[in-house]
Amino acid sequence: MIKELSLAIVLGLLIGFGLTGTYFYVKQNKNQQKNTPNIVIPTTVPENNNPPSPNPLPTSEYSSLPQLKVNYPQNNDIISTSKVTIKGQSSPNSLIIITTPLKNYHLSADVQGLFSQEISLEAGYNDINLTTIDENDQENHLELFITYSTTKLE
Amino acid sequence: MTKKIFFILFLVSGFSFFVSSVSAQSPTPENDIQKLREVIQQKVQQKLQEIGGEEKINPKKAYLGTITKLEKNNLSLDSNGQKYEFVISEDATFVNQKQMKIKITDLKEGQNVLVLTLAKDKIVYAKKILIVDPTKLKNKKNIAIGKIADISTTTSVFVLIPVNNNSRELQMKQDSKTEIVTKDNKSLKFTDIKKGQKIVCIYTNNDNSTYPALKIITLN
Repeated sequence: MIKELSLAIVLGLLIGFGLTGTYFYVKQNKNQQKNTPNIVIPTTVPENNNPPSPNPLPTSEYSSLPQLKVNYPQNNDIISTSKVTIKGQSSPNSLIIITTPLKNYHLSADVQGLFSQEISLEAGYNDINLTTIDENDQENHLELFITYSTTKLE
Repeated sequence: MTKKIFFILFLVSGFSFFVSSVSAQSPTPENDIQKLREVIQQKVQQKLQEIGGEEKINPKKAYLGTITKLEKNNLSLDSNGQKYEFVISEDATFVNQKQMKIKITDLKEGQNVLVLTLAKDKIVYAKKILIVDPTKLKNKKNIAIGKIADISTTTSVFVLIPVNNNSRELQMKQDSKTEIVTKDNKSLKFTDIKKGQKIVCIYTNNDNSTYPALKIITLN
């Protein structure tokens, strides 16, 4: 009697865990398939028998200018300190070049396109040129006018 | 007896299935984490935009331009094609190119001035007007990105072909003041630059055929 009972319990456990294991294994596989991002397999471009054009027309992908925006300071601002931090946004990882009457700066925008650079100002009017060059060598320019003055205006 | 055994077998199987199903549940599925990340990112972006939107406008501004009209205490200015009107403040000061104080009567239409202003109660007051030479204030630095077509280490002259204009050739001259760096800001010598290399060159725009290179940034 005890022998049969033990056998029944062991068999029951084996069947129960076996079924459960199989069920969750199948379920997990389905979930993994859902969560896996769509992987685009790179394919080779079919060979073009036509000879390459000596003057390829610019495509829309490369003709668009990279964005360039300065969030701080605002254009025509009067700054009362000799240094100011320019904060702005451009294309991700683009090269930013800032030229001022005193110095030239270069830096890279981050993955979000944000950049920040402290610059020295010349006393008086400063014509600051900003240039961005993206990964496709496309350029965009922006001019920023800042005046460094300690004159009390209030 | 056999019925009892089958009943126990059924109970044990059912119990083990129930226990396993409870323990197999994941407390934080990956989908939920991803959704949570997206929500947080959206909130952060929203907050950043709000902060940007609430940015205060600096009441102190300076405008470089040409006087187009001067009547009593009203000044009209043309600055880069934009027209501005200011009320000349009673305590305004006027300065000529020699940094000497002048009177308001010395100001004339057509003069190039830098006007320092203060916005107060929706009126923009001209607080200081300086007569300037705009050509001296213009940033004359140019930027070119291109490939080095030719290089002479003996004369320190190199020819750059801009990527956006293959038919153009820019002849540049390097001197002791020229800063040569990599994109990562590592210092280089002129001899490190090779023909065919892609660079960004900051140079001064002058009337000569050879432009002085102020800064060279190597890109490869």
